[in-house]
Amino acid sequence: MILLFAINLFMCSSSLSSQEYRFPQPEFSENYQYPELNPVNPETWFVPWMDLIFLVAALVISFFLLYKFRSRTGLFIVSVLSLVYLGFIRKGCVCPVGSTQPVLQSLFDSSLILPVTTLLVFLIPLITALFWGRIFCGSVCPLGALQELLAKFNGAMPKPVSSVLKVIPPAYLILAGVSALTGSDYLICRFDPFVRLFRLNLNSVQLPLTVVFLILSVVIYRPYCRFICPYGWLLAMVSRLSLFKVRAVEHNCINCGLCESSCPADAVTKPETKDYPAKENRKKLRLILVILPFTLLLAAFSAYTAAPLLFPVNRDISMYRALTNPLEENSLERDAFWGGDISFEELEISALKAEAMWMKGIIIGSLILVLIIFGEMVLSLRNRKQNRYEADPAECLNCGRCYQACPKERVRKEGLPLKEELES
Amino acid sequence: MKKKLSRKDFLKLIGGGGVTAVLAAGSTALLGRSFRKSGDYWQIDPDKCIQCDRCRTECVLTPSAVKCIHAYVICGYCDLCSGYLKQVHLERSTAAENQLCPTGALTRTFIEDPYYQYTVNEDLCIACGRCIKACQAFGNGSLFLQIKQDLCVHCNYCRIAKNCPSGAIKKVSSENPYMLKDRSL
Repeated sequence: MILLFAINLFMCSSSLSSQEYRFPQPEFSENYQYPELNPVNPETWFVPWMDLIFLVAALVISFFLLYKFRSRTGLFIVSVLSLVYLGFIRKGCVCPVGSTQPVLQSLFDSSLILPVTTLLVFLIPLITALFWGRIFCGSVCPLGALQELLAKFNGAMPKPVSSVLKVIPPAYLILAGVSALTGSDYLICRFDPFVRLFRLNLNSVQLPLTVVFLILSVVIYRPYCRFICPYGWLLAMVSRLSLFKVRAVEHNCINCGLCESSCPADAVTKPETKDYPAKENRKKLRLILVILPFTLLLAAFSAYTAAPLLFPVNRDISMYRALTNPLEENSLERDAFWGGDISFEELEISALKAEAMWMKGIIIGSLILVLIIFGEMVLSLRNRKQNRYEADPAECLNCGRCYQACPKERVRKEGLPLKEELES
Repeated sequence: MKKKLSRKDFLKLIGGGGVTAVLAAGSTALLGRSFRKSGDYWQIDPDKCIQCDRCRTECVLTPSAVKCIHAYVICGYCDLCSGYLKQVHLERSTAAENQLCPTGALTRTFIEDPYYQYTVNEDLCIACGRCIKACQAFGNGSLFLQIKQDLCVHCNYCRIAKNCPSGAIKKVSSENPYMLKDRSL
């Protein structure tokens, strides 16, 4: 205690009062000009707008390449250009994936400065997804472009495994959302595996994460996009309402299924051949609705128990815990706190407030997650009424490989005569 | 012949309209708030900084985007500069063994007796904070650490800000992107 008091005194005495300085201002005899303090202003104001223009242009061009010209080569070129500009030149920040966090935070914290460019970067890919599907994922996102370059294998993933993994994006979104709106940290940015490649800064504590994802990208097709990216999940949900759907060929489809086997993301769905099993599905629906309330209770309880583990992400909470824990050893943070001008009572108030927000956020978030999972299960039981092969807009990452695999599309592109014409 | 609108497409249209309405409402709500031109600009509050050396190690860039800046109007132009010379030094000169700065970024120029001018060479500064700590403790505190906006890559959430022990780093608007020390009245 005496030690803390002494440190406090030292800190106070070492910080200068605004009224006096230890040494007086020099009296120069000659004409001495004080050097101007002219720190260079930040990048000119239009650079973030340039990023937006690039984003919109890439999205619109990708739309035409995907649905009108149906060219995988074109989409690939756009994705490489995006990797170069949005990735390596602009260092991948601020990206739509990360922009989710300041947008969420500013909804809850009115004092946060939200640049209009960040809001637009968040909205524009979502709006295009509403009409055109996940074209942002396909050829504009630099993270996706990098994974696309590394993708080697076309292996199918067993359905149960991918169904479980697909729970991660909404869960990550909720966790990152709670962390962002409490102003604790931007988790999506913190655990982004590819941004340190864009910054060409490899001496970082998260380097193993980058290495793991680079290796995974070779073995699995676009692991981050399909199983981790929270913004990708938002795009997938919105894409379900899109007007346009990716089909390997628009007309003369012969249901050969080559597009389905060539799709690396398992996005192409089969046509419905059997009758809709109404009775079975009604039983399943009843079962789902019965276990729903129990799952909700279980989720709320688990959230209530597990939430305190996440509290230290918030700096006020971790500082408060450190100061009230007599076993905690002295650290820079504690010295800085005692030397600063925030009182312990103020810290306590803000820490307890943050704890309450986190607890509320995690519990509500877990309930929402359960509803999302159950909603997906119910949706999978609906009568799809599909009579040809087409891509599920939520899963399809708009790579264009099905265009290259489809024999009828090839016939159409190369202007080869149709089989009927040859025979006649 | 116009294609009849199926129930599925109708529902999709309603859903799409709903999502657009939500996004529009959310955006207008956010537009009504404090809205600045563009970009994320982070600045260190010089009064809160404790010169802990984390600005050098925590920045995503190497070398750090933080540099030592000299507020000349506050400086005493002393011969015995505690920010320039080591505590235990052989003589008050520009010899390297007497300098506190590990990279030799602080330079000393004679102006007139007894005044010396001290300038920071930003290309050499690594933001370790040693000169600032000494200047704060024994001098006028004219040296301070600050994020250079032309070097900074403007992260969504500044990594140094997250790890600053005194919470000295905060976001500022693009209209006023620098927090500089000035001689207070």
